[in-house]
Amino acid sequence: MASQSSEITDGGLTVTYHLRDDLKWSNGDPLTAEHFVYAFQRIADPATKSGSIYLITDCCMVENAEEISTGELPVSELGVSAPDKQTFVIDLEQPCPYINSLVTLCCFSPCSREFVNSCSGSYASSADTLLSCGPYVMDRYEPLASQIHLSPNKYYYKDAGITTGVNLQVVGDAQQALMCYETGMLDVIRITGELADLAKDDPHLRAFSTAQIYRLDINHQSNNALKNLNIRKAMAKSIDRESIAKNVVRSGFSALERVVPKDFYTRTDGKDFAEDQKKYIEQMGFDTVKAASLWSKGLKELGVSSLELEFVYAATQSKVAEPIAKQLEDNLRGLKLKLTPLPDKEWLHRIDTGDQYDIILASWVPDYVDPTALYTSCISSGNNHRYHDEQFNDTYLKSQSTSGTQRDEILVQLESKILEDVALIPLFSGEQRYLVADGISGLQVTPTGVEVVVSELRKEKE
Amino acid sequence: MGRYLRKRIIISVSILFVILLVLFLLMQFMPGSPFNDAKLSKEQVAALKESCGLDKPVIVQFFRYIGKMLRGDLGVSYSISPNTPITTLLVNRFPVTLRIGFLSLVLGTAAGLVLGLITAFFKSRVIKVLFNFITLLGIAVPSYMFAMFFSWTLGYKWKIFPMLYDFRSPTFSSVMPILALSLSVMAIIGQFTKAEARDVMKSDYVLLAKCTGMKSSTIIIKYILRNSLIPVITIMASLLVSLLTGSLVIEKMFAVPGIGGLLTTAISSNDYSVVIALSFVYSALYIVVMLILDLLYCIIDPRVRLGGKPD
Repeated sequence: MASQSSEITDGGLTVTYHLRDDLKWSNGDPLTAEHFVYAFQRIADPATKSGSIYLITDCCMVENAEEISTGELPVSELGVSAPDKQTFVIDLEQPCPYINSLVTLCCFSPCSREFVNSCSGSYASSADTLLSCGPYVMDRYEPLASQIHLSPNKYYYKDAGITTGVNLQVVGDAQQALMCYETGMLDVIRITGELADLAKDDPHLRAFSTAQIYRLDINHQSNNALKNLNIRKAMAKSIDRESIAKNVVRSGFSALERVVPKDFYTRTDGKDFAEDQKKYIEQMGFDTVKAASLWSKGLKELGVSSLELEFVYAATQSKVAEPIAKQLEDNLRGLKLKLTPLPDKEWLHRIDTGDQYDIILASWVPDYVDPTALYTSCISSGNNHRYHDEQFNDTYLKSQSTSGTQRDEILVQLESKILEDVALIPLFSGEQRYLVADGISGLQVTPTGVEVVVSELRKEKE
Repeated sequence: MGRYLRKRIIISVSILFVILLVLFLLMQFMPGSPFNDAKLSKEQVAALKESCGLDKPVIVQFFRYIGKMLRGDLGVSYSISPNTPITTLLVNRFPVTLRIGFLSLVLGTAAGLVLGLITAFFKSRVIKVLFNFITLLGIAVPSYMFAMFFSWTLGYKWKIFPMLYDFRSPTFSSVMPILALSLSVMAIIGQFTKAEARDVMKSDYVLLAKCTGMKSSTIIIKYILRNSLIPVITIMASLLVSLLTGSLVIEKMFAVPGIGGLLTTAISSNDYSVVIALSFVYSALYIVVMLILDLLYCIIDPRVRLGGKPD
């Protein structure tokens, strides 16, 4: 919105954004390119302790970001600059084809150095210490608030047509939220698993696919048996994702037989990258006969008649994990799974370290709209499940320096490689459902970044 | 009295120190770190730990923490609200939890005292059955169920009170959480008051007061109520602390921005500093309340002499 135009030059290493000249902060101060420079510098600065640092060191390699994050270089050396008030330039160490999607993440939002300094350490901890440049301004906020209120921003660069505020309410109890919706206290509510049945026939129900994927991560080093391709293939083909999504979990999950879900990434020719959902049916499609045959073949190659594997999952995901385990055991004769449900933090710890599991039910949320956001977990330098393939690494690198249809083809190669090697087993893509009251329009749910966008939300006057 | 106070304060500080040490060690033994994110590299996690001082030996971390705490600095949150001072998190939430907890206690205690005294004073079978029914219900049914009941009736069906906490009308929107929490308090206080008042009514001095022709209201207020208060006050202390720590479900249900939700979020996110600070605040609260109680005994019942020596 802030940028009128952008250009990528120098073989993809320089990205220039030309900003509008009528941008203002919610306190009336002008918003300039320098504020974008400062936002990037804050992420890189070790003193900020930003958990988003990987976005500029790994996802897009901003010049000197790595050295600054470890304190080897000062923040001023970061490859971002503002030659004039309306021009913001990012210098990259290697081309980043998805940079325009990446910079829409909240952490890259502009930030006024003067304002942050004036807050003396309490920046963004209350409504008074926040500045906005969007259509709304937060006039009620506190860290981890259960209620946030937004009012129209009178300094927004255009008339957004907003006359009323938005009240964002965090309700921990789903049933209470539904009752509030039915009495008209809330206009839009998110439907979670336990309410799915109650709301399934409601004409006000809206479903949005998200880019979050659920998958089985296979530890490629923990157990010799899992190094066997036929064993991995058999496991991938013995799970009936469709039936689990429809009959067991019922809400929030759609069957996924490839890595990139549909409606996530648009190819250069304008088509959905994952248009053909059955493209990898040979590798991932549910087929008990083929699964059994691959399993026997695998066991024979290993010289064993049975296998015992540890299946780790978050206890909160038992509803999904248990039917998966049952199907694996039922369809693969001789497989014995040791089920290990864990508290979330321990489960996350095991995913992070890549230790103490044979297979683990994991989820991955891409940070930007590009298939590589989902493939990055399979490159040798960035994966915890210890999949290692030089060819995959090389192809991934190639995807970073190409563009257009050529790049789309490379992306297909990457996806095919993951699925042919069964580097991981995709299971479900996430789905979000909302109940939207009559007279409410403009609800947007985006696959990455800010999940729910309220800027277009409108309520008809009663 | 002064000597007793000094002794109690020294014991309290020692207990708090031990609590803090145990909490600190427990958090260290728990798996995971505040920076559980598969997208961060090992080097980046190490850098984040270093910037928060989590790379130092446990004992160094502990004494550094104590030093800061003595200066009123409870540290910052690592993961749930990165870099936000914990005092800011507490300042926003503690008053909400405190107000709801305190009002529940006041309402529940007042109702419990009235119910208990009425039942003890009037020997009617109907009153006794009614009292037993109400108090058993209050003790046996968890406050969450009352919250659901009030939500359904007073909020959803009759639309008398809002079903969610609203910062624009904090008192009005707190009515249902307060009602839900106060019922169990009422039941417990009612039972204690009734049992104690019955005993007091059988005592010689009440009999003497009756014989002198003193008015019933004077006997109740001056003798029965006052003498029944000691055990009631003892139980009130633990009730107050449990209201402040145990109203988590109610907070979740009515979206009350209180301290219970903060604690559970912090525990599940491994935000050590917030967990320790909150646990410490709870422990300190309990110890202070118990100390105040000991002093209150002295005022209510002059026979109680603290420190073993008469003043």
